[in-house]
Amino acid sequence: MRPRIPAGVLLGLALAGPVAGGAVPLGLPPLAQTGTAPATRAQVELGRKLFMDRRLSHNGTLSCAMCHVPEQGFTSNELATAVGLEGQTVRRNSPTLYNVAFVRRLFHDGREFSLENQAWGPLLAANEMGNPSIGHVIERIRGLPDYAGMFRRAYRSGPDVVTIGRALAAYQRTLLSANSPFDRWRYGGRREAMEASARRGFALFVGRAGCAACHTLGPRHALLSDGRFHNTGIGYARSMGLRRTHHVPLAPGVSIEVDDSALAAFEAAPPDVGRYEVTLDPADSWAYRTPTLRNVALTGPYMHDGSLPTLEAVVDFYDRGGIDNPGRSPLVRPLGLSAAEKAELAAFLRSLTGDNAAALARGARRGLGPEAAAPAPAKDARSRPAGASAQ
Amino acid sequence: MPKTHRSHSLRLFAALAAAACVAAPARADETSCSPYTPLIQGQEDLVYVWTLGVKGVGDGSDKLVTIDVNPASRTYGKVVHKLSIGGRGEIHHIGLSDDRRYLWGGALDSNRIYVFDIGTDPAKPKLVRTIKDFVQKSGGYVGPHSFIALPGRMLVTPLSNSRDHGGETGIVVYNNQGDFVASHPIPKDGGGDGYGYDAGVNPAKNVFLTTSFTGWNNYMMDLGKLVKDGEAMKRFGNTSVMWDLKTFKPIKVFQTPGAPLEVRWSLAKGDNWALTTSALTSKMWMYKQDAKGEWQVKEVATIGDPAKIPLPVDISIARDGKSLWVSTFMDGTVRLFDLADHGKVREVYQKQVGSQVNMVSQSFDGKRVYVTTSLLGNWDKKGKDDEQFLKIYDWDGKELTQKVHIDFYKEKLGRAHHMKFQVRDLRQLKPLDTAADGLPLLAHSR
Amino acid sequence: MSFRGARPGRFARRLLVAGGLLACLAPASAQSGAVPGYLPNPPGTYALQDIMQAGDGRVLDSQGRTRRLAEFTRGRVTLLSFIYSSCADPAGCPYAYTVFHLVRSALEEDPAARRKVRLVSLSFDPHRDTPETLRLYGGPDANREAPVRWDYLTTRSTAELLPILSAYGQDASVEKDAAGRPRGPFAHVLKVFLIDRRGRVREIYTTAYLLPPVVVNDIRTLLLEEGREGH
Repeated sequence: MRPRIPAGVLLGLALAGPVAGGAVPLGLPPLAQTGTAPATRAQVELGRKLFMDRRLSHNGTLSCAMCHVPEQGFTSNELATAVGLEGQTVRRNSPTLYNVAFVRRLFHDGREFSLENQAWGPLLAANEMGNPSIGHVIERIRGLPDYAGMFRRAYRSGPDVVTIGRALAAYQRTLLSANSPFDRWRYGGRREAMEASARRGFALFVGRAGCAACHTLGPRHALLSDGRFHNTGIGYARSMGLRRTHHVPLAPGVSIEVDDSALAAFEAAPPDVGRYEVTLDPADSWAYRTPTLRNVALTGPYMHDGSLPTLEAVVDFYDRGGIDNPGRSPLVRPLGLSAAEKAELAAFLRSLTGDNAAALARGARRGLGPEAAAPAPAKDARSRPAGASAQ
Repeated sequence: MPKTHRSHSLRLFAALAAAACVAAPARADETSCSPYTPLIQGQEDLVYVWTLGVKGVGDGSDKLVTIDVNPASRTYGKVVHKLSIGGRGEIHHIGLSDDRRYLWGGALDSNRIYVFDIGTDPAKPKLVRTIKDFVQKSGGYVGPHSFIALPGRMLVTPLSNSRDHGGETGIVVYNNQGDFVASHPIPKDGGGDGYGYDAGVNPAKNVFLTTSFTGWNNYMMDLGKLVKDGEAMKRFGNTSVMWDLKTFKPIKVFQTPGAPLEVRWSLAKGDNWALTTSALTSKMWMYKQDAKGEWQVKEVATIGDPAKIPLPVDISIARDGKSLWVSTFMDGTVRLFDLADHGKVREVYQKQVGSQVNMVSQSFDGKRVYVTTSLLGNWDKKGKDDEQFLKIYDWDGKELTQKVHIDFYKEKLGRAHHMKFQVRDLRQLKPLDTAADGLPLLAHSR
Repeated sequence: MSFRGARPGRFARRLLVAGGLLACLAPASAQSGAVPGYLPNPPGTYALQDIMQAGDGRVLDSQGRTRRLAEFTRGRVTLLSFIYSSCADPAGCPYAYTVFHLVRSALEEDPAARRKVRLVSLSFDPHRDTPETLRLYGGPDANREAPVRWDYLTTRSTAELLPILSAYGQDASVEKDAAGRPRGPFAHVLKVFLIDRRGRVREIYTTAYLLPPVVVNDIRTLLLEEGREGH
């Protein structure tokens, strides 16, 4: 039997950018650099379906996409730190998946080395998707009739620990986004592609503000991340309880300050020592991976704990030199930027938004099967057609 | 009683004119039920408590707990029946069907809806249907919350959606057989934010009012974590919506910032106003028609000290519309507000009933007040402050006097949440007292 | 109080002639300063929900012939209520009965509704309401050639009635009198069902909130809907 892919899926993939191994948008390095084999359409579509499928969590409520929401920058704009199975606390901010194909150390602490293996982390974490075992996930997928034949077509074998990881990785590697105003300006040679204030912001970014020391750029392309781990003080302050009062918005224009002591009857913040938890090297305490800045305007809130709500807050934070602590990266230091300069930096960050974010989101929802989880109707009422059963 | 044709026809005429022109005012239940559901106007025999399973407490399962609450009964104040439904799905509210023979209960995480037969043997509820495809059937809504009876149907108000677990949601209608009928999005235009929570129906005005809370992300997470999450705190509903009960189209969106929750219409004859309280901003809001017939909302009171987020979470209105119990979760306090003068709504009594309190329900005559403790599985306090109980108080107009205290942890039950009353003999129920409203003269001819 | 033999239909018609009700059928206004109940939505401006399949079962017509209830719930827009001729609750059957008269009066002169609308009264009390009783009860209302036809139905026994009640979701409990004889079912809330010509229930009213202008508009809405669908 020939595989039949619905036209909508093909269109979705076409909109969603190239299949892994193909051409990349302006400003990104060639995919060959990632050292992964190109994926087929069948593999990518299978991965997309798995990614969107709420049935892959233990109680059927969470998919990968519930925390990496396609319309919210493949992260969650509505949460500082994620919420897992049965509402359990996940201690860090959901990282964006834009351009994740190029990330070599996965998770904020870099504990995984490939998307194929990384996929099993959230699937099995008790406080994320909560599956009791690898076999449980495999058997569940085997029992879902809408997956019948998909793994065979994609991988010539059934769902297993390898093919599930490969399919999820194949889909995520298609989430490439670039060709931003910055890319068209810097790598496309179009002088007017990026506005003047952003150009001034870029000068600060690579110059006096020193951002590019970690958010690196190359002559022909840029990932805007060095893929390394740095201590800015955010994690230190959290672990040491330096922040005791919380600004709590209650309604538009109404907010209060709440002291930790008022919250004593609730869950304490979970411990988090960052990269140290992987290396056990005290020098790595509270260090977290430098995130890409591509599409950063779409991926708030910011930092590994989502504690900074806006790009302005992030610029302010670095302007202050982060939070002083014994392990603070020497690259993080007070900058003494003027208000105008900070606005220019923010303008530059906003020029890093790729041209296909909406298409990637549409592509994610393109599936026609039960995993699509029937997105909420946008406008009109939904009801049984009157008299349907009589016809 | 002998009758003549003439007197008959005149009375009939007057009655019909009254029915068609004046229309009967809404009648609610003892505390909060649909105006279509027949009432317990005397002593309630049973209270059903929708109880969240807690790992390590008894069988750990969600359950429907039935408690004898008739002081004349041998088993007064005792748990007389427990029905475990399996698993922990964040069960939340229950609602009575239009004939009070069935009780519907929802689960905010598993998205299941459970239908219990409480008519055949009210003291032994039986699970007769489990609806498992709410999300698919409704078009992607998550968290079935309130159940409000309509004739032959149940209006279900979800809280979230399967797209992003945020607060945008809709309203859903099932028929009494448990089949999906229709769903409609909560409006996002005209100032709407698309969020939902409760609904209250006023058939006399052909309207229902919906309020707004927050999505799965927020109602499922630990409350302490939530308060510290500045982004999440921005995702609470700030609106309420008046809808046309016939067409299910929105009439007007109101700005009622800070998560307006429970809706109650006044029960009093001739009244056509409704109340809600906003949990985060600690305000009481009143909905009324102006002289032109347009619905308007007005802030009428502040509850406790808003700076301390007392979190008003439930309300229970007196049958005469003259007073309102408000429970504030954080300080475990129930507060009585005097509503006699809508320009001067004020608190006249308060009592701390525990370390935390969620639901407050009163009997139809207002003489008994019931409270339970659980708000949401992950919002309840932790450690010693996590008291879980049902307490029943007598209210003499001046003081609450505790009569019954059932410790839901000691009894190995779980977290005590929503309550509904029932009688053992359904013949004691009194249908909506429309004869005294819409059909006055016809009633007098009896 | 009993309506048996009282022929309320005639009175209701007189009332309509007198215009009392017609004034109320017209949109209310706020001129008086008093808040009106509400303005019924105009026909055809809304869609009624598709609630469920209308129930079926064995019934007896007023000639005593065995029929299927489905024969009376298809082909025309049908307004169906459960009645008992001995019902004494003024907010129950007599009121619904009178509303039926008003609805019929409002529709029978309307060319768009002639021979497209049917009223059905199905007895709740097979023991007392024999076909003959219903024939008397209905009187000239049961004229089969009327532009808006009105059928009076009963069942052979409570055993044949109960599945029908259950299919409609009409609450009922069977009671016995002091001598232990079944008194026929008893209900707290009597419902009235609006059924489209395909036999789907599209609205359910309780007698507590049964307003003739609203029922008439709902019927017209169904007639318009079916016109649009080319039936």
